[in-house]
Amino acid sequence: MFWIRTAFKELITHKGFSLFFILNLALGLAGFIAIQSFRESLDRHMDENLKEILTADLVLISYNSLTQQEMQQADRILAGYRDKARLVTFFSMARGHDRSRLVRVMAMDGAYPLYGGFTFEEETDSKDIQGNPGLFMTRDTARSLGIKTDSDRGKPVKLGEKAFLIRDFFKDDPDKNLTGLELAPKVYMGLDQLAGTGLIRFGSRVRYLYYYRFEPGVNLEGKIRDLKQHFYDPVRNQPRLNVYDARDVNQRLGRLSRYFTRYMGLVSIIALFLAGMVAAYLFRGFLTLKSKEMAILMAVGATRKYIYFYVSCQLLFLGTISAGLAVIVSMVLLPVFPVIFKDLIPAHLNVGMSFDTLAVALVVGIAGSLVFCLPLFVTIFSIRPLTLLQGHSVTRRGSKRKTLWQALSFVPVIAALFLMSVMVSGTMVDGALFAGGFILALGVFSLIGALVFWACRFPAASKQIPVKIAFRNLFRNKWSSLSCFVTIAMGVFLIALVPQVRKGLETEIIRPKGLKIPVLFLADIQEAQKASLIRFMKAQEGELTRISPMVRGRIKTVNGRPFYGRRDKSEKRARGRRLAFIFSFRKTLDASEKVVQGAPMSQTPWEFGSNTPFEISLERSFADRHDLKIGDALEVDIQGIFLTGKVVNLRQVKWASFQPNFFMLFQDGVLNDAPKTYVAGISNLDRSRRHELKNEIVDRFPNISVIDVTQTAQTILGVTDRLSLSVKFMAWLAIAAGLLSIFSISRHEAFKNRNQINLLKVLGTDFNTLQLITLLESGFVGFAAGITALCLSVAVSFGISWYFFDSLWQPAEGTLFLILCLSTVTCMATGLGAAWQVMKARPVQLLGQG
Amino acid sequence: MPGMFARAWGNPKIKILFLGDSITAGYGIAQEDAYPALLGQKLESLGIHHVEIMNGSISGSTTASALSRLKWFQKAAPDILVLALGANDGLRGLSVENMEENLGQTITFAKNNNMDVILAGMQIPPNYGPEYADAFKQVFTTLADDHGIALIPFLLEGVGGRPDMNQPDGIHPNRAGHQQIAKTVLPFILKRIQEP
Repeated sequence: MFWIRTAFKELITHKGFSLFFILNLALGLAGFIAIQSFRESLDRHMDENLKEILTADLVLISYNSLTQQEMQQADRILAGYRDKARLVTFFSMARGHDRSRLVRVMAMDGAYPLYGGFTFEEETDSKDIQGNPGLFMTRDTARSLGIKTDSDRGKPVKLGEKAFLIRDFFKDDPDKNLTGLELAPKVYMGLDQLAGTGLIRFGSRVRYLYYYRFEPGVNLEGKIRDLKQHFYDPVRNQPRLNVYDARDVNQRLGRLSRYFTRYMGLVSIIALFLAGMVAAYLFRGFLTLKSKEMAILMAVGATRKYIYFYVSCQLLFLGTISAGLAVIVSMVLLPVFPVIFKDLIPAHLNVGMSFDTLAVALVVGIAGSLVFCLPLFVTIFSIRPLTLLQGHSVTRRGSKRKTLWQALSFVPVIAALFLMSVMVSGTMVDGALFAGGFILALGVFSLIGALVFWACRFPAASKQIPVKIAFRNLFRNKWSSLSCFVTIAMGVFLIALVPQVRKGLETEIIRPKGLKIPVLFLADIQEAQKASLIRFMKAQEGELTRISPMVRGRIKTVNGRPFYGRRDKSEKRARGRRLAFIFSFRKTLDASEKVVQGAPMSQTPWEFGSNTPFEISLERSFADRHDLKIGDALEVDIQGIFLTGKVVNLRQVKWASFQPNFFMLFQDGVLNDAPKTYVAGISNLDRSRRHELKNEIVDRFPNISVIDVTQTAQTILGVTDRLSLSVKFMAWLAIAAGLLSIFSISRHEAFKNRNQINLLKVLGTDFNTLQLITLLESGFVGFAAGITALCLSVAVSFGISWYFFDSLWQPAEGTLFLILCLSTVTCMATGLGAAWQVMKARPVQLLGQG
Repeated sequence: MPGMFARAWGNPKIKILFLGDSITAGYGIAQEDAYPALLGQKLESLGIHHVEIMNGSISGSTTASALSRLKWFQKAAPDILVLALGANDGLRGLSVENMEENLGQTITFAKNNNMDVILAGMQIPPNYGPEYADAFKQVFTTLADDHGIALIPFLLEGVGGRPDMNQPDGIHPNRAGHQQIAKTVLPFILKRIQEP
């Protein structure tokens, strides 16, 4: 108890130092909590979005209605669900007032949808169509059925053998289709109203959907596995029903979602490392300051065991108070953040702290004090009362035993670093890579820093007094300067990684400039119709964009080996290899695609019948799935004609950009005469003209499918816009948290230097010179560390982008320059602040605090 | 087609072109398991060796593309055309009048180029409604009568609507389904190539 009392008494006596220490550590930890909380909130926000797209937590889809027994089995496997809904969907011809058209019937029960909902023109309840033959549809659909005005709403719409009345028009419906282009508009009816239509009979092609909603936190993976096993059809060698959850929607969003998750993991790890680094630096500084006191205590009879206990008590106390303060600050500030950053973060984002985040922050603050300081604890071995009488540092002496202990003491630090990286990043490999990279970067910075401070001896020989003193100080205190250099460099390095990765990611997520988002999508345009369609559209309001040819064909061989029967990644993932593919050609690449490997395709048309293989451009993920590489010779069957081409480049395509894009592009001249159809988009079309134009096209070109992609495009682009906004916000949050850490570190450094500044003051140095010396010293450390860190960050961010984000990397010169300026200015300003404090204080007062 | 019978057992080969959609293309199964390939194997087993099967089918294709595709295949000079298109027109709810016109033009072109045409009749699932389903089915009978060509009443006879004959999507035949279709089509082919 005596030692505990002594430990706390001392902390209270030196309340200035204690407070300073607590505040600095709390700042670093608050940065971590903010980033981690935002990451979790954004993850949750995206997850909720995905659930709304799916309208449930889990969906079962079957082409046959489940029997009562099967339904009970499914319910038993999915035990614990909160709500359940049913929907039956199929295509049918609806007969309106004066015409018929294809519609997609959505027969729903009263519980549908479990997430999301309808937006009606009137205030109708979606359950209103359960008890009577009513329909919900859009006004456009109604118009296409000849129901043009509100007074026409009394006219029936016939589905099969039953007449229905329109109950309301919806502006938005819960069903969001991300992949399939809808052939026909949706028409909702009550599930019980299917009776009497005569549409569900033997041979009818119908999909039965069963939706389930669970309490948050329920693990669905096991349930999905059980369902698939239970409903396995051994004859067909596959499950009798398909099961989907939010992860499948996530997959449909494809790479974007994967990138987002990884990016968030990266930002979290960086925040964790920054917080850990600040903690380690401050604890280390604390222990160094205490080493003399320890020697004194030992001189008055304290045993080494009590010294450990005494210091540990102080560290634990300071760490706990800091972590607690960080949690309180975060709790107060986080709810205010969405208000402050209103336009910078996705709307309706609820930011909250999770227990995990708080636990990690407390662990870093409390246990971190011991783990990070272990290597320094070893130095207590070498503390002896005798060292007090020696001129040099009390911790400098070494022995083989001490070196061994010191090396071993790093093991828990590395293990903690690794474990926390794995925990925050979510995967073993990612965590190990980040932790390994962190240690490597520490080594590089230590080496470069040692060289920099060794080289300080040259400017230290300058005749200019401030330069001479500043660099002499740096050279003489090179170990202390080096630790500050390494810490600041690590801080700058970590925060500089994020914007560089972000910029590359944004090139994938953000819509390219000048990209025209289609409102309508036209498919199956025949060769003979192309010219007349272009002519027709010239007279219309909308703009016909990217009219792209499509030729169906097969890949026969790859480098002389049959394509079918090769085992590749697609075969491992899917049921079997797809044989028929769509080939296309275009003279210039679309704004949504770019060549990332290999040479651009030749502009010279290929000569049909030539012995030279024609050029092929492949989409990168397609090439990866089918193990195709640049230089591979592909023999293709274009509707009976066999031709050989060679892969010359790989393209990266932004599929979420909603443009007509293709996995395989052929050189001009190959497909020009082959039977083909065309797809095209129509953009720049006013919403009010959409329906009219759609009807005009259908009347004039009956075979052309006109697909209204407004809702699908809005859904996908909405998600990508939110992703983009979140990515940007997290980058700036990481920079802010990083600068806060640098501020904490440089403030601590300035605090340590007060005695030195005081000495110069006592020796008669005027304020201006003192100011200049401080600025030079702190500015040089900040700038040298910053520039070193930025150089390494460019190389490492490139590596991260290559490994985790499919080489999406863009230099972010502007942001890097800003980080360099801000980190240097932060160091200089905090140094200057310390000089001011010294100038204002009396020398005796400062000596007393030392 | 005088002389075709003789050619089946001698040179030159009889070329049979299948112009269809995903059903005839063998969507979801290997090309050698699709019914045109199975027919080729059956003919071989019957000792009819000099028949060449050409499968010019494209998944998702409608009757609108039939004529331009036939013109492309005309370069290979087919003797028999099995026209198995229309299912996608029906599934997409396209106008039956346009479908009839497209198929009619294709048949006329084939006949003008000395091809013997076999029209494969299609039906649309009952969920499309009785009016449309009836009008759709009628198109094939009308065309066969008008052009005096052979009609397979329903290509998916014994296959459509049967889960054991179809892939899980309920619309594309599986291997067993294709074998059944081959059985349905074989007599029509044999009749054309054995006709003196």
